[in-house]
Amino acid sequence: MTEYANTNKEVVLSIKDLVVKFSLRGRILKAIREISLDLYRGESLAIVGESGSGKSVFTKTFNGMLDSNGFIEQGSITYNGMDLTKFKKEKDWLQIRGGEIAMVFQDPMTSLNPLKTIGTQICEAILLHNKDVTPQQAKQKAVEYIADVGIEEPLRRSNQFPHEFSGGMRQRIVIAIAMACNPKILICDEPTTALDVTIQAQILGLLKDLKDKYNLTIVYITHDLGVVAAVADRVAVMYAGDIVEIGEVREVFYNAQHPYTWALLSSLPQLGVKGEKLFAIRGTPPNLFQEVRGDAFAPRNPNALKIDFVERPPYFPVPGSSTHKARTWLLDPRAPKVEPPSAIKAIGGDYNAL
Amino acid sequence: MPSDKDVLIDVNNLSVDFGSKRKSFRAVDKVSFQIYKGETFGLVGESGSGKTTIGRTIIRINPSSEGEITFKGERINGKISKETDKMVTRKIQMIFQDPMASLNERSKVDYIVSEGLYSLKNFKTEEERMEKVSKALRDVGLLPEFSSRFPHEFSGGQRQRIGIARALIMEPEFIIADEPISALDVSIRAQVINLLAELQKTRGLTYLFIAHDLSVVRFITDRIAVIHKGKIVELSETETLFKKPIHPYTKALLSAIPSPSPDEERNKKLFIYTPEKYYDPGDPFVWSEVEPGHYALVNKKILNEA
Repeated sequence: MTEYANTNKEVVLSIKDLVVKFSLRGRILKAIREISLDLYRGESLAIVGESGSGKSVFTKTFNGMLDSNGFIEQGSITYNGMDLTKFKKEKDWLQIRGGEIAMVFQDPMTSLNPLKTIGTQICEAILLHNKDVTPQQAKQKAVEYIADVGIEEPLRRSNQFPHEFSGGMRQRIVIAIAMACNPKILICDEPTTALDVTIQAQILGLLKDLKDKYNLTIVYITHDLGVVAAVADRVAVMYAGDIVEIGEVREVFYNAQHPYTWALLSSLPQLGVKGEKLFAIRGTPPNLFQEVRGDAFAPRNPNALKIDFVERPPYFPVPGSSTHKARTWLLDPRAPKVEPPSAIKAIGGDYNAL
Repeated sequence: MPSDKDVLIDVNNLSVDFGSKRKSFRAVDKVSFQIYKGETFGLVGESGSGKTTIGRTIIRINPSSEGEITFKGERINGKISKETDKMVTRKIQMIFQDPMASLNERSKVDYIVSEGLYSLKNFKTEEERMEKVSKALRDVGLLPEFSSRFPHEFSGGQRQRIGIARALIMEPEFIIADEPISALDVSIRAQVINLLAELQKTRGLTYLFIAHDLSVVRFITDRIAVIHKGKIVELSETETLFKKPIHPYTKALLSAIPSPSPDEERNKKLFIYTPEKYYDPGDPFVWSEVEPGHYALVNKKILNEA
């Protein structure tokens, strides 16, 4: 049995009541709606949600990469005693970005410089973050990092250009560059979406190894629940700029509470029965230019309660767990009993065998 | 699976080369398979395996360099008459991967959907054309009013529906769907899969479904061909392939399918395919029928292991 729970719970990054807005052609869009989240050292947290749910925007606030029309209206992000929301200048961010919190992007085809050898690109990162390293030493370290991410013949490969590598190899290099900054937190934004299934499994394995080796904290952003099941210790399900359910991975997969989590899980083709219709979520996500009333998912939820349209649910702790909570009125003691859809039972796994 | 096995598409010994003679690259290497009327045939492989090239060769975007493709017994590759060419355009349609890139940003949905009609002059009056457009839009679950809008006004799932409407309006018999849902969100994927399945039922369509995501392929296809480096390595009915894979590459693909169950996912063993391990000059790979309807490119070593 694999260890899921994180025993030492030291908070590395603490987000409180975060609100992020964007101004778009004179209108204001509320992309992140009062999110609070603690990230623990050494854990891997997966943030799941469909496109537009704000998962990328949320993590971009951690290293000051919000687009210029976006701003943090309220809330705090505490890292090492500093409040990152107070950072205004690029210079402030340079002490965080890369060296403390690094990022791996989705598409390895566009995140490397095509004109420089990969060795040079890794050296750049090393020299930027270690003032006392000579270029010679940096070169040697770069080769070590290339070997670290599982590329064979690292010395020869370090003199090659990005176009000489396949997609999976390039993603390994991007990860090597991120690792060369020696970060404490690594944010992976859809790290395997652009890759083949076979390669995907290898990259996820690599990230897991690196996490153990360097005691990294990893945040995965993804819409692929298969990836989540493979790598995450904890899962946060995002919908319309809010975390609607959060818990340890087994809790969220085997004992999901929020109707949106149910819907996401039941639409997986792995759970479909051949010849029958696959479960599909009706409608579209809410318009975030307008204030959302009640539970944001209610209009798409066939079993929504009356109160879902009126008042936003608070987080209810899931009975029997200290780590699992969900924003749904269904967990209120007064709520009627609603059974989760039968399709997600097919996921299997015995929740009680925790 | 239809009981009467009418062969709709017959691909025989097909090869496709890219580049000039001296520096040519063989993307598809002597591939043969048949697609029966009314079935969904899956073509699975990693990127660069040649699966898209096969689809594009059938629809005559890429020229073939060897072999034969027939549609209802009529040859459709190489030099063919104008009439046959028109017939191919009408009867075989394609749905592309990325709905963000495959629709012309500057034209309205009305034009995008009816472009095929225009190029074949497949309508008599303007009313008839508009009627066809609104019917196609309704068939894919969009409103006819949408025809006066531009693609950027739609979400990814709606755009993919427009792409499907554009194929349907030609009343095709055979649709090549090239990774039609890979670029879509999980929740929208289900909608598009359902739509494709429903259209198949109501119109008796035949699909060639090209994908790398085996979990989706298992859900919708009747038969699967696994392709690796331009060669088909295994071909069989979908469930047989999943239950009794023979070729080590198929096994590798199957072992990499992500499972939505954390317990399973954490105990899973990845199988990595190393072609060198099976290569033996005295033991060549032969395309053989291992059991009825289940073919694989094997040698003795692979068979012993399976």
